Amino acid sequence: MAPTSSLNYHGRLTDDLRANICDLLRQSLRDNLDGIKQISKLVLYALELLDNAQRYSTVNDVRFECEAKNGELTLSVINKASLEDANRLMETVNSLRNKSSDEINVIYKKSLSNNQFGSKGGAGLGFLQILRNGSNELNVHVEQLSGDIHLCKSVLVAKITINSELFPSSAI
Amino acid sequence: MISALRIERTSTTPLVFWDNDASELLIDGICCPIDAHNFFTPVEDWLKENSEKLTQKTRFVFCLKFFNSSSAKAIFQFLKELKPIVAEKKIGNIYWVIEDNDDFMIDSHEDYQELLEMKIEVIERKEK
Repeated sequence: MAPTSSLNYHGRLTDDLRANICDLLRQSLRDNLDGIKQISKLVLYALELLDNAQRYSTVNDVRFECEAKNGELTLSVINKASLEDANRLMETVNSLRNKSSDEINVIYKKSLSNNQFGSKGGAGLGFLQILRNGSNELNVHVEQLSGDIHLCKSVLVAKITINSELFPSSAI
Repeated sequence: MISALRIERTSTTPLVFWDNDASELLIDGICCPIDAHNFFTPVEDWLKENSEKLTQKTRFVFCLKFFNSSSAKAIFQFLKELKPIVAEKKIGNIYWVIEDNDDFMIDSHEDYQELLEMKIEVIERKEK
């Protein structure tokens, strides 16, 4: 049977918590999924989603859910955001949806080498970083709560690869 | 005399330390501040202020466990500032530490070398 692992958090998101969640995720994947490859990239996905949540949350109340199951890692981050920020994130993901990996790479490198940072410190690279590193699915949903407060939900699915030569029992 | 630089490590930012005896700038740890541009500004300022005093012995060592995309761009900007200094002084000693064949760090190293067209030496290590 394929190994499974889950990690959930709900509450305030601070710098310390963000770093600790990523450290815990790294250790959790390593200790629960023998022979798992590319842990750094999986942790990076979580880090980028959490960065966005901390950067754009209008209320410091974030829900993070992570589940490794059936050979896939599903990450979900929910936070409250202004319509402008939530829509921008959603439009960015939608604009990248039909791009090939080569096109994503070109856009990533172009964005990496421009000198532009957003007013909240974003580099405009997070979703590109996730997609160029092999995430299978990436979606952002926006739901209006009241007035300008919107719920922004980012969901990502990535394939987990296992070194089946070294760990045949963990092969998924 | 090259001015001192020491920024202490936090949960989301690395130690940044200029060792005058070793002539080495070390950037060591996790790097995922929400605003990486802001974090790297004093490091870039230090470089601009001291670039004339660096020597062929000078080493720049990036020993990063992981970093976010905001830091990826800030590191790129710092390396871009470093490039003409390296070319002029021929210091040529920029090191990129990769622990345990970390795929993300390998890819990042390739990106920086390719985009900046500069040599960045790799140091391979086993995770402590």
